[in-house]
Amino acid sequence: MQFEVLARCQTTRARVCRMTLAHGTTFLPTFMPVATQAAIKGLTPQQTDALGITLILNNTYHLNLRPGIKVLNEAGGAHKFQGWKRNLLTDSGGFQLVSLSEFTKITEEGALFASPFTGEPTMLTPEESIAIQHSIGADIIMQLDDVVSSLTVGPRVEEAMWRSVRWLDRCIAMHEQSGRNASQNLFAIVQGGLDSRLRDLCVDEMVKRKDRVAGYAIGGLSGGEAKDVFWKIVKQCADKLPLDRPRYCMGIGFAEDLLVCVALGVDMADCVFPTRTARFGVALTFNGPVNLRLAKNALDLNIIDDDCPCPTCHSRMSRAHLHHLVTIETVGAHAITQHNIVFQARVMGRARDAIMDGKFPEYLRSFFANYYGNDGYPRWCVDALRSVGVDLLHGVDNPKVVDDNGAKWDYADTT
Amino acid sequence: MSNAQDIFRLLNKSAPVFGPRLGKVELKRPSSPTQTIQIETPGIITCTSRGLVPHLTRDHVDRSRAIDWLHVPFESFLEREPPIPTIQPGPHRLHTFLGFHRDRHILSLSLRDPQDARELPPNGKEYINANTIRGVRKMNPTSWRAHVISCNADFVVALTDTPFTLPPFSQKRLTKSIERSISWLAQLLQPFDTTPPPPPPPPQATSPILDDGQRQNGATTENLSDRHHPLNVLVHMAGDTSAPARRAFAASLTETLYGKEAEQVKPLRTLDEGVCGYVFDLQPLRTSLIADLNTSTTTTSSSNSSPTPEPEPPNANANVTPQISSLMQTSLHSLPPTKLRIVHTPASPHEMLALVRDIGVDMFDAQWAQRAADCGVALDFAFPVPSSAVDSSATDEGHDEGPDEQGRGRGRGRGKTGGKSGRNGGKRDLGHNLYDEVYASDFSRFADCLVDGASASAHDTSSSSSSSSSSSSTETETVCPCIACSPISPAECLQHSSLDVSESPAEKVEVDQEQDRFEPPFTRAYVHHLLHTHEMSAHTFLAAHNLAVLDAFFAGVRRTLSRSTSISTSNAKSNSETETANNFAKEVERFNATYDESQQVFVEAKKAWAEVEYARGKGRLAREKVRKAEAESGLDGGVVEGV
Ligand SMILES: [Zn+2]
Ligand SMILES: [Zn+2]
Repeated sequence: MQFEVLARCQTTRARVCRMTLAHGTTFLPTFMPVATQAAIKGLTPQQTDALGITLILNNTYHLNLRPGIKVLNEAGGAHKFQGWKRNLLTDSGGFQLVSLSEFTKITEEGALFASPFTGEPTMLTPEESIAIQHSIGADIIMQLDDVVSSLTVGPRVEEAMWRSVRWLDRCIAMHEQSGRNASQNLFAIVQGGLDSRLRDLCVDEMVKRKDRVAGYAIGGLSGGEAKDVFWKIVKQCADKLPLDRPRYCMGIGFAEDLLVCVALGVDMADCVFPTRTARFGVALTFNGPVNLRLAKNALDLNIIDDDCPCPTCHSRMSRAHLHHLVTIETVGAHAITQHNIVFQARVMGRARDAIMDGKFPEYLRSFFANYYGNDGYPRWCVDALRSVGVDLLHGVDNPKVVDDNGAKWDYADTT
Repeated sequence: MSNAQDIFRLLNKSAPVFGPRLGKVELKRPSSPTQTIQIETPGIITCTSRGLVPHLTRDHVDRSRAIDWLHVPFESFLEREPPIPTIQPGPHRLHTFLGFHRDRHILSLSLRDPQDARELPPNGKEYINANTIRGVRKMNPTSWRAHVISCNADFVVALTDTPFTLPPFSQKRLTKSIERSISWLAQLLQPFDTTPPPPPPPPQATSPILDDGQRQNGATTENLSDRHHPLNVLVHMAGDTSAPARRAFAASLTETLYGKEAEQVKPLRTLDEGVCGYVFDLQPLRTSLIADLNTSTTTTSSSNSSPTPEPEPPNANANVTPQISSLMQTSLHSLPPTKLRIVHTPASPHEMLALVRDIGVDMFDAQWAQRAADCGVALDFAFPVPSSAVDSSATDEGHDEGPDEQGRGRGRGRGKTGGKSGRNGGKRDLGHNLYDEVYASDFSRFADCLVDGASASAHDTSSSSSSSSSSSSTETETVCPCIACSPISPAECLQHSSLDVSESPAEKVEVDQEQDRFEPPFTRAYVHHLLHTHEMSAHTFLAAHNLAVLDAFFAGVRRTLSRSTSISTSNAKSNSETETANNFAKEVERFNATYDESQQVFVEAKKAWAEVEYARGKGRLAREKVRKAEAESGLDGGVVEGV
């Protein structure tokens, strides 16, 4: 991996980086759309490419079940299997094991789970996870970590944190002996729950191994914890992580979360939210989400966003037509998926430009004013950005600040 | 401009009333570079659902060469008042609203979806029933006329009283059906100046209802004297399975009108003068024919009728092509042979070939191929039958050259030899049921008989000197241009920051030529995976591919018909007609002998589809919980996950 910091925000911790991997260059900060089963829902790889996306995510747990390692090896890896020629990241499979299988038991050796096919006990070790990710062949691979829910408290959190460190060592050893260091880049995952002491310990341990890892992820968040805790943990980790390694915050996808994380020093994020919400008929815009299922769109011949370059808006597909399709014809979902992926890319692309131009604080203020102006700024966003020197409310007359999580929906009855 | 003769032209004016024929549909499009859209016949009409081609986004439709004529059923738009396309601003409301291009796409419009033969309440004297997801809607001829004028589609099908109650139908019912259909056609054919004004345009609509397009289409006094109606009207040939009823309907079209009736459609002398083509909806007709079959079976063998109720009526998949063909001949017998003949919902390529051969049908809708995409079948057949399809295993090795070079061709699927050998006396399947486990590691392209773009262009450059390549015959060189077989990396990608711009030019240098940008074809193994994981992209690839295969099939039909025509000399004209027909018939026989018409592969695919659905259902409860939680947090419950 070639990694270069191109610019740093003078106010916040945000930065712009160039990350060059075996399948091309990706500029950071960036959002990675999720192709869980080796396909972005409903799109072809050429369509995703045309949207200006240079890095997507596949899920190891799913690909290991289907099509399976044998097929992936025969195909020559996941890039060739799915026809994707740009960069690819795989997770370790650990998170899905825990969240999708209630029978998973963690031992020091690895994660023991019931095979979804045969029901037989199966072990996923750190070595096995890396071996699978080698078969998939992604440009960035993740260590197997011991994931606990972000709501877990007590000694289990510390146990999981230390085990994640030990498992990182096993992953590094496995990866180094494979000789794939040049083409595949291993990321460590910082754990430690919502406990700042544990997070500190974990970052310290993992930074000690810096020469043998290509980047760092902040894991174990985005699992229902209070936003106020969330941003503080992200900030704590990002502050301590080395400048010359990319930082990846896992499972983040709401626009406000993305921009706060970028301001705190995060470079990469992923989430199923933009593609999933598209299938529910929700289009994302700089003025907030638009629920196209609502009756108010039935006769609205305007497009989703006049300034959007996505194929849906570019072809002038109206809200009324999308309303006519959503949740009935798959094309409705595909068209909104294209738009939402482009929206995420625009949010991050504008952030890159603003940071390069030294205007990131202005971008944050105008983004939040457009996105939340009428409904009130989420207090946690205001607080998080104040912690890095940006006052969202600066110059705003009678600012309204709200205490909820801030996730913005466009909801009403759909008849 | 819109003389019936101008819109559709038979290439051979002396073609017999019934028999294979070549023609050309041509519509004036002042905005396009060539000033016209031309469609060669026989050819295909792409079906739409809720106004678009299922599974294909607008960018995919734009890339498809198979899609040039689309048929739009209007009924889904009746869910809202006013129907939304009718308030779209601009002169070509339907094209604009649905995102089709005036310079590339021909749109035909009917009220009902020809695929939908489900039971409906009886039609009335002054209305027919349409089906929407919000329930049944009544449509009368006056509103229909207002809607079609407003939509400004290229072709419009007159309202027709096809009963969607349970067959068989009494003679009285059929007589009523014919009388109503004729009267509704006459109402549609009324001259424009006596039309009651269409519904007032909503505030958004900035252009007048009668816009440029219509005036061009001939709604002026001088053009009216051509005795052609400004709308390009198609009429559905009524009469169900009754030959006398069909004769009566055709006679009502051509009889000279007098008195009030003549006054109504002035200056037309007959209704047929205002009609530019004849439409046959085979779906309801097939339902009736099969019901007839079952009535006759039960009368002969009523004693041993099965005690348990049948899940599917007997004879549901019976081949009724000969009966259909004969009924169509009855309808067309006394009508001018020079007008367009359009068939909706043919049951198979075999049926399409029979109707080209025995009738001279010009356009078929592609519902059969599109439906195959829904249930996971990748079509793989060609006309004329390629030699590779006959001696199956012998030529196999040559096919995977392209993928093999890239290490993707290690598949040893059964698909390479074309489906289950021994089926129906060793006939080949029309496609591959990609649910089947044999495709799990089959890394070949979808079709054996059509080449992928990457292999073809590699072949072009590598063997340009030795043009007579030994490994592959000329027939197998037909390229499938679809997004699955010939994916093209985008010429330009969106750029989201100024940095992205600086990175791009270097990559752009080599990508000028489209054929240089072909990427390896998507494989059966990949789509097998997508089908089993419920990824919607599977159906996107299959829909695009299947349309391309059917389009190539008709290109082959036209080639066969023109090849034999061009050989003949002009002074042996009648001789050459027979020769053409004979050659074509011979190729049809070869096709029938090669490919399995019973379509067992579809039965298997539908079963596999249902099994995957069921297995998925087991995990549904957990998902319902998630869904409920999301609904409570403001996200709505409905979601598109599969088909
Ligand atoms: Zn858009
Ligand atoms: Zn194809």
